[in-house]
Order: sequence, then structure tokens, then C-alpha cells
Amino acid sequence: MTADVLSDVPDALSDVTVRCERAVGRVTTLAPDGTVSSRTTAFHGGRVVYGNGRGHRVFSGDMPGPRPLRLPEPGPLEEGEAVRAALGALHARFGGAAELCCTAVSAVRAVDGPYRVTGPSLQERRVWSLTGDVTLPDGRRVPVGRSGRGPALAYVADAAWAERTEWLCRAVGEAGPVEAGDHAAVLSPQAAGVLLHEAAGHFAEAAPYGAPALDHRLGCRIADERISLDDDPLADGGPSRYTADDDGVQALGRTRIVHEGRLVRQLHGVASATAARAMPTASSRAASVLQAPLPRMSNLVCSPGDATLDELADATGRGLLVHRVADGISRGGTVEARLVLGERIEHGRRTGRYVTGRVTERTDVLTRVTGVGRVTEFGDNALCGKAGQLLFDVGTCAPALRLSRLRCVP
Amino acid sequence: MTCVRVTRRHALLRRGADGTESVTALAMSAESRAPGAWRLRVLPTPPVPPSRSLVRAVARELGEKGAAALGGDGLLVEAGGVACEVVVDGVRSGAWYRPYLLVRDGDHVVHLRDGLRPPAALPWSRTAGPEDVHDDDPVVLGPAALLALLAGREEAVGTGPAPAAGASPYPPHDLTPPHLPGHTGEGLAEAGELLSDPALWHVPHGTFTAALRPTLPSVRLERGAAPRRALVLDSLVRHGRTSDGLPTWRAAFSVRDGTGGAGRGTGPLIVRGDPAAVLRHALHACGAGRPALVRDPIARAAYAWAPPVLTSLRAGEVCAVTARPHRPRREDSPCPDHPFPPTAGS
Repeated sequence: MTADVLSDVPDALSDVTVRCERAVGRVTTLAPDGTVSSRTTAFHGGRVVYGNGRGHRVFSGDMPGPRPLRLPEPGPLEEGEAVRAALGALHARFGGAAELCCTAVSAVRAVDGPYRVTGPSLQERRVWSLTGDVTLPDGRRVPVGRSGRGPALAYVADAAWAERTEWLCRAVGEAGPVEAGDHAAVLSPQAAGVLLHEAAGHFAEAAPYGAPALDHRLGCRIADERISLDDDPLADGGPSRYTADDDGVQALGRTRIVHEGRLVRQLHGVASATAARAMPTASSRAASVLQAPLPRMSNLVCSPGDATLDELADATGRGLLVHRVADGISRGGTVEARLVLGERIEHGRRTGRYVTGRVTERTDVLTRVTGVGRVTEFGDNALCGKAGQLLFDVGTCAPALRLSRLRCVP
Repeated sequence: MTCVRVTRRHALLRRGADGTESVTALAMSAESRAPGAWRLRVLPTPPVPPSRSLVRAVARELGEKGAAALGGDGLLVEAGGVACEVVVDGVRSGAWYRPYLLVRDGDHVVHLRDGLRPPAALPWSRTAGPEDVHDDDPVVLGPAALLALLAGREEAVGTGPAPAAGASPYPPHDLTPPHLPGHTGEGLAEAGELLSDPALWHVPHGTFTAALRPTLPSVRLERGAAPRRALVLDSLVRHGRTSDGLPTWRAAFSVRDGTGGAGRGTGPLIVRGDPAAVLRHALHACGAGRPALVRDPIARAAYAWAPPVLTSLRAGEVCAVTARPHRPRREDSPCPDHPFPPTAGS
């Protein structure tokens, strides 16, 4: 069955890219009634892409053909019972108001192709996510979203996170709607990370296969001079970590994409780089080997400034301290996110009066940065969906930012 | 304890309009020994895809039949088969197998039926450019165009997903497990969805609501006669907006010439119109429901059934960019908004 497929190119693997993966996973779900259910997954398959537009082959099981890539078994996941127990504890802690889903994946992925002069890349990947909602007594929902690299259990059972989430729920419960309009704003590192990711990170990603060409964006000012951004798949502490992307291109370190506010480089996979006559930036990433990889961010790292959070608030006078946003989305010219929790600032001081709503902004929102915090930190949610592909490990390391104005609606 | 195992095997060979050939061969199973707990895995022996010679022969035959209408363009031809089987406590309790053949001209589904028999003929006999469209031609919304407008209307008004328009006519998207008396239910349906694509196995709850987003509303319209001459919008893809804010669409189209023949549109045709406003002009279905492709900006493309629909609009009212000479409307229209009465039955 399969031999004929590769027999067209028995000795011409130089223009064939092969991606294979073995993965085990567990998706554990906590229902509001406390029921915990789970599914386990065991995947083994891949995708062969023939060069020069000769199509591709998606397969399950062993790679067909005369030169199959052999993969080791992925590392085992932690005990499912421990994760179930941790979710059960969260059910008790949130009084039955939480609907949560914990996903853990352990995978081994190999990529071979024309960019692999030293043979196939073989990388282990272990990622997790905890997503869902906590429903407040008035029916409002507080989104929960955490993800990253490594085993899941430590994060699901993280007491400090549970305490912060309880505080967040209490504050949202007291919050009123944000006033529609422009607000001077201070963004926490988490909120700043979401806006940097949506407004600058996605803006820097080339289109798959280079169509439409987006290189006219190069040189555009997309942020204030204080903002410089790197994409770094090897960043210390970042959720993303890989030494070769899904085209097999070796990742050598950080790529400066925004320098002093101007877009200076796009993120490219091999196909988009070829179309743009640029160098690939090891940014080709696929959620599953069955899907075509797209130019995606790895870890977006923002250079720090020199202000403390209090100094940023003090300089704001009257405005909004944005504690947390979620569900960010970039629509080309606009950026939106859910304002999970904001706090009014009066006379440069936090007031303890909370608001919720939505942030609806233009992609050039970062040109209104007027202050940058001195401490940067990775956001706790590294989930990023694009074109039907969800990556668990797209990190953003950001400082707090002060904006001259931020448009919000209730 | 009852053990349920659902196995799905899926193989297809797709030849694109440019001759590119792609193969998918997947075999997966979901096994459950307790309610709500599934073990999903791929199987080491994927199914055999249809032979390349079959698909190439169909593409060649159709290309020859439609050479005058295709004008050098190619057709997408896909042959495949999906098999689903349920075993309960070691006993094979239900199964189905659907071989199918899909032929598309761009986004326009020309043929999608179970079985591998190719269509006897293509729906056009010649090419037609935008200059062949007359301002007073009544506008017929093809199935894909109708669904694109319905999706656009839902997006504009911000409604939630509408009820699904029944099972997908595209067999790889048929997620229905075999009917099992006493074993049906949400659990089995969930397994059916997950087995449609292992790329969804690790997606957390709520990210992509289902393997296929059920955004396509059912389309039920009274059946009426088809106009002899018409501009048929086979598919619509969002293109932008006019200076006065009206959405514009890039249309694949064909022209019925009044003699029973049809010309396949080859030039760029940009039409304008707010989805809700255009849909208000729908008069009646002027043909049987056919499979149609609907592109989704988030999930993958979906297929659904929809009929062609005659509208009270005229080509001159919707065409935004034309390379054709201006043809004045007739002066005898009884309706100032719609210069011509519907031509159904004429």
C-alpha cells in the first residue's frame, strides 16, 4: 500500500520533509457537579511533504517507505489519579463553581528534510494546560487559563495560584462595568504580555507560504521607542523551548523583531522565507504533525524599562490599572481582549474599586506606551490558537507598561 | 463492565487543480470501559487509499469533457472512503463504510456522492466572462453563496452558532457512529467527533467547540421554478468593503443563457451587498439541495446541503466591479426598487 507512495522519490529525499510524532496525553475534566472524567490518548503518525508542489501524505502508524524515521516512546505522564485528586481539591476550594480541564501531553517529534544537514531533529515535548471557568454567584464567569512546559501536576496543585484565583474571583465579584471610552492605563506584566503578543507578535508573523506578502510591514512603527522585542525559542524560563523548528531549521537564539518600536524582522518558516527572499527564523510550528506548520512566535521577550509599578501608577494620575486580561485576539488592524479585572487609579493611587469589560484597540496601541516597568516576567498562560492550531507553549515575557490611553467598553 | 470500542479508518487521495496529489491514511480507535472515560489511539495499520490511477483517470476524463468550459483550469478530484465500526464486549455491533468521490471547481462543489462513479457531465458547456453578465439578469445564489451569506449575516449580528444543517454530505466529516441500540448517547458521539481528527485530541475544553463548528443553519425554502437566464453566484468569498461601507465579495459564477446551456465564469467578478439585505431578496429555492463548501475562519472548511435560491435582485444591483459594457435596464419595471419582477416560471 505504502511503498508506491514514496517510490516516486526513493533517492530524492533532499526535497522531502518528514515530520513524525509519538505522543501520549491525558485530558481530565472537572464538571461543576464534581464529576471528574478523563480520556487518554496515544498518537503515532506523521506527515510527509514532497517538494516542488508534489503534495503530501498524512499517515497514522509507522512512516511508510524505505527510510522510515524511528521514534522512541515518549516519556510517561504523571499518575492520572493524582491529577484527578488535584482537580477534586479545586472543586472543593471553589465551592463547586469551577469547570476545569487539565490537558497533559508528552511527545517525541522528529523532523527530517532539506534543512537537516546533521540528520533528523529529535525533540521531546512535554506541555500542559489548565483551562475553564469559575462561575460567580451572580452568574459571571472568571476565565481560568494556564499552560506551559513540563508536568502538569505541580501547577494544578499549586496552592499559591489557587489563592490568587480566589482573590481574583472575589475582586471580579465586587467589580462594576468599566466606563466606555479611553482611559490612561497601567498594564500589569500579564496584561502587557497579552497586548504585546496580539499587537506586535502576531503582526510580525509572516503569512504561511508568503501569501499575502506582508513585508511591507517591515520598518513600520508599531510601538513606542521604549519597546524592543525578541523572539527566542531558547529563552530561560520560557514556556517554549526547541532547538529546531518544524521545518527542521536550527534555532540559534533570539531574533530581534521590534527594535525601538519599529518592526525590523518577520517571523518566517521556510516557505514564507523563500517567498519573501528572507532567511527563515526557525519559527515554523505545527500543533500536530498532521497539520501544516505556520510561522508562529516562540517566546516573545520585551526589553525592560526602569520604572516600578507604583511609579507607573503615580505618573498616571487618573486611569486604570489593568490586572488581568484574557482571550486576546488579533484581527489584523484591531486587537481585542477580555478585561477580566481592572482597578481605578485616582490621584496616582490604586483605589480598590474594580471594573470588568473589554479592551478594543487598534494594532498600533503600543505606540501609546509612555512608561516601561523594570521587572519582566513570563505570563502564566502560553496558549495561542491560530488557524485551527493550538500551541500550549507560546510565551510572552513582559514588563508592566503605562499607556497614555486604552480604549475599553463594558 | 461493558467495553465499547469505536474504530474509524479514513483514506483519501486528493488531486488538486494544479495536479498536486495528497494522501491521507489514518486509522484510529476509541475504547471505553467506563462512562466518559475514553482511550484514544492510532492503529499501526492505516487503510489503503484509492489508487492514483483512478483519480488521475477521473481528472483526465472530466478535464476532457469540460475542456471548453474550463479554459485551462483544473478540477479538484478527491476519492476516498471512511469506515466506522463499533465493537461491544468483543462483538461487532455496528458498522458503515462510505466510499465517495468529490469534484470541485474552486470552492464550487460540482460532484459529491457516495461511490466512486464520476459525474456523467459537467454543468457548463463554455466559458463566460463578466462581459456576458447583463445588468437585468436575475441573480441566483448558488448553495455555497447562500451559506456564505448566512454565515456573514450571523457574524454581523453576533448570534451564536445556529443548529447544524444535518449530517455533513462530505463523508470524512460524517462523525456519526453506527447506531447502537442501548449504547447511543453523548459519550459515543464524543468519540465519533474525536476520531474525526487526532489533531483535536489534545485541544482543551472550549477552545474549538467541536470537530466541526455547527454554524450552518438549516435552509428550508419553498421550491419554485428556475429562471431561464440568470447570473448564478456559485460561491462568495469576502473581499472588502465599498467606500459606502457595503461588504464586497469575490464571486465564482456561471451564466445561464436562456437556451438551457450555462457558461462557467472565468473573469473576476466582485459583487457587493450586506448579507442580511441580500438574503431579504430571496424568493424561493429553484433547484434541489446540493452539497456546498463553506469556509470557516477558525475551524476547517465544512460541507452542508443547501439549494440554489432565486432572488429578486438583478445583476446590475450587485455587481461592484465589472469589465463589461454598460447595459441599461429595461424601462418597464413595475417596481422601482427591483426593476424587474421575478422571472420564475417565465
